[in-house]
Amino acid sequence: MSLARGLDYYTGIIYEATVEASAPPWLKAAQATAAAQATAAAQASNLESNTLTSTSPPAQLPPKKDKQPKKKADADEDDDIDDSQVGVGSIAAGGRYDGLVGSFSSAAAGDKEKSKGHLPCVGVSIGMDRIFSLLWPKWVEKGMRSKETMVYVMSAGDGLLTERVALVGDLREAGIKVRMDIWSASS
Amino acid sequence: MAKNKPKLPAQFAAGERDEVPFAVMIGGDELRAGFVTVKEQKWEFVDGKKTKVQSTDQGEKVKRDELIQWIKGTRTYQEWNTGKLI
Repeated sequence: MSLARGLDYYTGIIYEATVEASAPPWLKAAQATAAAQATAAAQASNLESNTLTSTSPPAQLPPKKDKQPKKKADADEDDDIDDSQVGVGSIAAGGRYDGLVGSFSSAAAGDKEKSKGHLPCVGVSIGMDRIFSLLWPKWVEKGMRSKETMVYVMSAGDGLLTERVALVGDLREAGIKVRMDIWSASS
Repeated sequence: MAKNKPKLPAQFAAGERDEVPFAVMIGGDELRAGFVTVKEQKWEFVDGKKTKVQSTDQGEKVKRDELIQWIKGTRTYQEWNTGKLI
């Protein structure tokens, strides 16, 4: 196979999904080339910014190695990520790997003959954390928040713990999301 | 450590950390008279940073029995479905 994806176990089609923000430069270049050719134009310019690419015949192989460490560093940073700079690589990938599972099961059975454990497989995984790291800055940018709490019940002065609990209970029963101070609010 | 008598500023801070749109305060005398105080809190973008809108508004007195209806009648509550605050 022309694309190894880390371990060279694929035996057929390989899928790799990227979004514009995560696409490596070589892919963009390949798409530009393809777009120039009238026959490939329709395939290259699909889905606005989201591009699902089957990379069976890749134009040029990606320089995978120098992309990996940079991705790690970006993912560790918190809020002010410039998402145009986030190179998270592919957000989903998979393919056909007919030999992989069989090689494990035949090894487990002590079977030296690999061909006996042949078990055809097709699978695709979706990188939730990679997708999230792309979506989160957009969410924050829009002024969104990650909690849906509607009301915070608090007491002025003298505790009123049972009264607070009662009010929180009433509001929750009415379907309103409520919190109150149970643990120390300063922690 | 659980606190039976948390301080008001600490409770406000906790509510703000969650960006809660309604702060409901209860006080002894007021509650006995059947009222609570509701203060609506809003956030805005200042220089690209989300900031709480400061207001000198002391909040609105609402009958405790009518609080649910009052909250459900606000625009904030009715337009709330995506977590968006602004």
